[in-house]
Amino acid sequence: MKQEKRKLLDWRLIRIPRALVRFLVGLLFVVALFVGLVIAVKLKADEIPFLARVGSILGIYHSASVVPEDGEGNVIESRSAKLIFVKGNVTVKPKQELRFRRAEKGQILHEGDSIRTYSGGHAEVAFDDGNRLTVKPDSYVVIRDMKQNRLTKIKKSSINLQQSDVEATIRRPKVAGSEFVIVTPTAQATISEAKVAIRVSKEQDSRMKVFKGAVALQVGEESVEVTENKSVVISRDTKVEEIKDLPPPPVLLDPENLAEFFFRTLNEMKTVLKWSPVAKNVKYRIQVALDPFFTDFVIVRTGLSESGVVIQGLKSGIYYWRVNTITAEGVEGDFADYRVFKVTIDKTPPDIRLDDIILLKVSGTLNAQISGETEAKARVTINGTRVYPDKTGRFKYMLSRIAPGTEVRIVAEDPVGNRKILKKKIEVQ
Amino acid sequence: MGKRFRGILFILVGGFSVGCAFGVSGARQPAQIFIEANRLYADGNYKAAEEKLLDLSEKMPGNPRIANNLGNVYMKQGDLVAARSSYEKALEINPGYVIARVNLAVLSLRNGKTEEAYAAFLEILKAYHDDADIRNGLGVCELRRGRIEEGVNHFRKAIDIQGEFPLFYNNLAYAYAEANEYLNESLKMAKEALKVEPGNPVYLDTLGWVYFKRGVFDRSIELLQDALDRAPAKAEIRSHLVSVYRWMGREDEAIALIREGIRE
Repeated sequence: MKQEKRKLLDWRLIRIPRALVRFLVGLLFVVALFVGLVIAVKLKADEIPFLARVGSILGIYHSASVVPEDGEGNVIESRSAKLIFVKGNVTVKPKQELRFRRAEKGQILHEGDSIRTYSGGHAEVAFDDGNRLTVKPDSYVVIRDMKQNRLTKIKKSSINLQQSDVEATIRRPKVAGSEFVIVTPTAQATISEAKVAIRVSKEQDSRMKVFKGAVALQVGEESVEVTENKSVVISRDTKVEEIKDLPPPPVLLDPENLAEFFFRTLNEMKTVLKWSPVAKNVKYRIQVALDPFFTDFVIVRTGLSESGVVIQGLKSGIYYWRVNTITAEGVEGDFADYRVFKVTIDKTPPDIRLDDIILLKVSGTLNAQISGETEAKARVTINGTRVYPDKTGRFKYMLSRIAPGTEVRIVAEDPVGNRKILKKKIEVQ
Repeated sequence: MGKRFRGILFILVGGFSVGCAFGVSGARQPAQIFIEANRLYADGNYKAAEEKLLDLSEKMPGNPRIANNLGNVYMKQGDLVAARSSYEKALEINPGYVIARVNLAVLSLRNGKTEEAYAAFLEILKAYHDDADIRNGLGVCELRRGRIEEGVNHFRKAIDIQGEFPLFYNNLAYAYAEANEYLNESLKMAKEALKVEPGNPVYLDTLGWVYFKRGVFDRSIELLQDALDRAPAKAEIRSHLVSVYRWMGREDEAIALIREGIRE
């Protein structure tokens, strides 16, 4: 006869009050309902990861980040992008919403989200694969796709442009087969590695410039490969109208990157920005801005025929500058990599903080150790002798064979020429 | 009876197994110990690796790989004198042992003996043209000698040979930044290197320095400060952060950093 094993714990021995069971079941139901409602209304998984997880455990939240593909069994994951710079009037509309909301730096963008910039608005979008999109004023961009095959790691991104002015820098993909597609009302550009600028006008014609790399362009039934330094115009009736050469960017020569200029007054502020000439019969456009995204312009000059320009009257601050070339036909090329310089208008002489003078008697002669602190970049002399301050601006000098009552004259002069003179008599008690 | 028999059998079999296990471990092959020492080294357990390698070096005094790896362990522990002695021992055993020669050259670099390292790398390069480490070493030497373009060429070559390797990316990014050239490329490469080793202070420093060159100062300071927090003894990182503060006119913060460095 088969003997039944004795159980360690017999559940029949534990009695749970029915009311408690009802209460617990009810509570579970309410929590599940609440989580489901919250997620269903709008919140995203990255905003409330805990709730999202709870939701997914309960089977209420159908995760938006993993969507099984068609019959092939591949799992396709959604990816994200980030707004890394926002200036002026920029709005974003999440996929499920109807209303555009003010965009914020650091905001995460998902598939289906739209970005809209108005006059003066500027946004920089960084995709998770390193690709970058600059959205210039008066643009409307929809992130159509941002997916990755979990198995093959192939990443596919695509954006739709309505009336827009954008620049995209697409990096060489790590996994072959990855691509970035830009769709305009009249064309589709497939990019695997390139720097491009696309402008879609109000009339729906598009102009594409390829500064680096190449782009496979599909215009209606026609396929065109647009190669480096080419510009193409696609008409509203889906025809490739013209392909033109783009002029190369000039090389910036002077001043060096991160150059510093010191002036005593704003009137004295004057410097020359130079670049290498590209060709004859071309013009140049120079932009000087307060930010590296070139949205806050201080100087813009177009139609310059010389390869240099004098600028003056800039206040103390940090400036970014770049130049591009414009052909006689008016075709504009890419900008050269920008450089940075700093202007300091400084009327204040360097401060001198002197320590107590230490007197030393050696073999009957009197010596004085002079030490103190000034600006690190100041040129210091003590009684006419050059003294070199250390990195923190501290200096030390021994005046030897002095007589009581000798005057010490310390001069500190900053790079602009502002000068401070400190005189002190050596008194012996 | 049956129960007792099973008990005795269990003890016998168990004892036999344990005995076998001890027997096997007691007679472990040097090759196994060598592999274990390497694993300990890879795990960052340098003291244990050192002990294993020292034991091995007594058993197999004529093996240059043991001496070389011991040098690596000392190098990681910051004992540069012991590291040099170990590499030299490896070369004494086998003068043609290239890895030890490369390590000696790297050691010279770490000791600030750029010219000595440069000469050594050049000598090794004659025989091993397609070695990425030698190219990388030469690149670092050239940067220190102020020959940035030559440095860039060596780093490029190293990447051509070995492909995407964070150290080479980092070094090339730094070389570009020093040359004020290809700063966008430099930024990409520095980011790539950091992606592989997110907490590496050297890579953080490079990216911070590149951002400085691009004029993105807030991010630059953030990264350099992070690098310095992770490696406060690295004078180069401190010096970079001082340069950024100075350039921005934040003199007080620059001086505070210098003084902090002097104290350390």
